[in-house]
Amino acid sequence: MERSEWKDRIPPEIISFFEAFPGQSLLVKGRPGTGKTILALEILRAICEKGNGLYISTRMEPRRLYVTSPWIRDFIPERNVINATQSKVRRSLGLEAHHPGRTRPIDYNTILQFFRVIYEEAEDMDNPMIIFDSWDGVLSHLNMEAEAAALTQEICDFCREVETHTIFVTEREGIATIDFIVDGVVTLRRLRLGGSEAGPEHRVVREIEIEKVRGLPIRQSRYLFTLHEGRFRFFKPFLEDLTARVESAPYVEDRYSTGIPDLDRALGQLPAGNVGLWETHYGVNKRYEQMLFQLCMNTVANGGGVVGIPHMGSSIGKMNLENVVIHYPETEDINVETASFLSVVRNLQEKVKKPILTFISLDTLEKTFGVKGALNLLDNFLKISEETKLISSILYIAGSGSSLLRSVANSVDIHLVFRDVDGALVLYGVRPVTCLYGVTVDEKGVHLTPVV
Amino acid sequence: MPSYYERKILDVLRKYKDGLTTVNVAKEADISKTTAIKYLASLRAEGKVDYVEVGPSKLWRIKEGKKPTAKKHKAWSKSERLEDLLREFKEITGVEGSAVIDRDGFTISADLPDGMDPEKFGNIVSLLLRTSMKSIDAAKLKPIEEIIIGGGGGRLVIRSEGKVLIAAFCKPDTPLGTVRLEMEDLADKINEVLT
Repeated sequence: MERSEWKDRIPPEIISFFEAFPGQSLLVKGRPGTGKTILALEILRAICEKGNGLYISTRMEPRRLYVTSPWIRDFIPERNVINATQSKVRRSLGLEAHHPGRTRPIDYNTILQFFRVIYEEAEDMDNPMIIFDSWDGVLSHLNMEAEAAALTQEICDFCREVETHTIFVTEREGIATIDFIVDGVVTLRRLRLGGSEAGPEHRVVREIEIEKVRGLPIRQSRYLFTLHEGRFRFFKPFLEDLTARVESAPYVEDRYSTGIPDLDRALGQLPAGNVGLWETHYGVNKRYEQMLFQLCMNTVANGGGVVGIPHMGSSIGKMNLENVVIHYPETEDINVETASFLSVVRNLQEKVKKPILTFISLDTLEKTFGVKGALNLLDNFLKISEETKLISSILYIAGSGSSLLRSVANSVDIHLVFRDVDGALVLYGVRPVTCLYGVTVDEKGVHLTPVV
Repeated sequence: MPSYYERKILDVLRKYKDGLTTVNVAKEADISKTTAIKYLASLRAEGKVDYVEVGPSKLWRIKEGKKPTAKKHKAWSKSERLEDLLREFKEITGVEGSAVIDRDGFTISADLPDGMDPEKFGNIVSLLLRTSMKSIDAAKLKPIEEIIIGGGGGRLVIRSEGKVLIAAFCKPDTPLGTVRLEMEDLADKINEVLT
């Protein structure tokens, strides 16, 4: 159970890669701070048996490793943190202190002696899994950069032969000979969403790219991931599931609640009676409806009602939910529509005896009434809301290409942006400013995980 | 003196003359993979084992050519000398395997037929001894000299010779007379080694 939860944190391509054959070698590339070590340790946790991890580094800091992630001690006992700069390690590789060159070639026997020295210090292991972190560091301390390819090749061959998985961590970018030697290559990147544009769009995104897994298909090559709470976790492609029965969150006094505790926390304490805007980028399509669904269901569960003018083809629009009234404009006359919308809201308010939550697709309004007409209609709705107190809050939903977006954005209390990153659904707040969150859904509803 | 792990490794390599991969050495010797690698590396450094490349894999074997140098008897341990005697006995008589067992049924040295587990063999012998002792006692035939068990696949002959018992696995067509004769000779040599 635990083990499968650990496996869920790593892209399935990497899990299958290590499960397909014994003695696989994986190269983990990425700039400093991209999460290479955390990924290597997370793989160890998912694949390796307890006590069978071996960590070879140029730094002897097991305690530091244990402080940041205490669980590592179970997988890599203290004796298994090996300092590769010791003189006996150098000697095993045919390097003598006062000898300028190598005393013998790098061959099978060299590697055999190397592992004899390494294993002498370590605990007995039936199925060791080795992490070289970083491989560049080890090579540079041993002064063996020129022989990197030969040494890597021999280590990979040896580990394949003795059925031992290895992970090489490197800060080197670009393609090098070692990329061709190992069985798999993944690169970790820290990107900024929104490209070179200035403005509120910039959020940090972490991305893992699976560049090579020898002999296995790559179904998806890039995934969004986070290092939240010091653990690696990738985000599966998100698809909405509106059949999910979600747990309802009770309202706390007169505070505004979205029905999604993680979102409430992200937005901070907002008073009731606010106006929100959910902006959806191309590629998000109907997936934001998972959150809209939870918002509606939670309002209903707390005894409220919802009136919505949804987007064309909306799934929620077809669901026929109790106390969620769907209203599509029937004419192009703004005054007629204002009156009919008001009567729908009033009818529901009289039924549930509570102010109504409304959501309005700006794209639907623009298509029916044009930009000017739609703005006038929105103005009317706001006036009704203020004068009648029939409406508790208004939520606008708009595609990022909508002409109404910029006009409306200036008047809202909450502005959330939904985007697709490598199939995952993400969101961030422009007002209030929040970090980027990955959206996931389970039987308890929608969860937001910070991408940090 | 080889360590416990080295002996375990040498034993399995003696059993699998064609050679074993590192992973199979660990499996057969029932030791961890890292222990197998450590000891194979040091045994190779001592010249006791070596690997041969067979396709992409390396097979570990006992390093041949130890015999001529080993003829200087004084450097030999008792167990090595006993092993040598059993090998010689096998060559002369054509038995499938043999073993030297003490009076309590514990194996001192063994050169067993392929696929036979030494522990299982020890259990068989100790069971046989106990039953035979009782039978001989009851029939007033003491002391015990010989136990022979015949089967379709051959015979197991156990003879009491001085301080030890010698067991031999004979094929159905192995002349029992030769085996007995050679066993006496072998027993003398063994008793000489053990004293």
